[in-house]
Amino acid sequence: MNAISAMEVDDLDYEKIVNAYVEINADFFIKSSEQHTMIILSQCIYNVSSESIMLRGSAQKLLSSFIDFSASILCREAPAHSEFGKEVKNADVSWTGDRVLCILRNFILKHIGDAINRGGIIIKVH
Amino acid sequence: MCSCFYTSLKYYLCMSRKSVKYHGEREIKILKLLSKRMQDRSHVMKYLDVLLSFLNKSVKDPGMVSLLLLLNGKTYNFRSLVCDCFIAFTDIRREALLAIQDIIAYLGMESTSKIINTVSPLLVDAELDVRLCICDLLESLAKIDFSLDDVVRIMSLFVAGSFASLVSDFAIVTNNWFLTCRQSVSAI
Repeated sequence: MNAISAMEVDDLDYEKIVNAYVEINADFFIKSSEQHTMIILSQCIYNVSSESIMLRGSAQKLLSSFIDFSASILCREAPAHSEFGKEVKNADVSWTGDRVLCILRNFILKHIGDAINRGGIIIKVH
Repeated sequence: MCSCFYTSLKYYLCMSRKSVKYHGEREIKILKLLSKRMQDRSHVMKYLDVLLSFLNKSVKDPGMVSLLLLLNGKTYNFRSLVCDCFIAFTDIRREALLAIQDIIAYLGMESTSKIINTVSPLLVDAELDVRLCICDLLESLAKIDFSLDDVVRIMSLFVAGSFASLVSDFAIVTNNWFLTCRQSVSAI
């Protein structure tokens, strides 16, 4: 995710980074521990403010994917609302609703808040 | 507030002089030398804590923070001075990461968790050279904690791949390559 272009030594190799993002999906989160996921999410937050539209897009997609994954975990713990719950019946037991909420509040929402406080252009993404 | 500003400014002006080393530089040099001699496990753990304190994002330099707050993004003549401060902090982080890599062989699995918890927040905004050091460190950690393999593959495969391709490009530049070039030029 920090690939350097072979053509321009000082520049990032955007294509390789985007391909790396493609590899990370819900299955990756299921297999990974919270700590390992945080490494990827930190990289993701870094790329969300990238000047490259490709990188921003990939990072935003991954964040959305993590939020969907979080919803799955939360729904698994509350089966009454299980629109997403069925997808992660085999999810690793290490992921709990509390931990997922903690990441959403203390990491993702925190950084969104920091970005808003810093100002600049805020783009609404559907 | 005002005295705080002048104290900060004086401190950073001093720091900008080449004869004066920035805060932490001398310490990190000593620590780097120590890392070559660290072998006792109990000492290594304490030493790791010291190194991690250089990387801990929650520990901020109060002088630096107050100066940045006062500058508040406006264009002052000493803006380059602030840039120098950032470079200094990047250097310290990079050196601390390299020093940790030197002692990984003496650390146990329990330390990997502590290291990852400190290092991972740096990935949110660290410069590229620090990011590369983090990738190298994660790669070294994966040798004692195999569960890191997948993450390391994602984080460092491309770094290694891009450098490898760059190096392989240079590998074709041999004596024969120069001879071929010379012959091609002569033919023209």
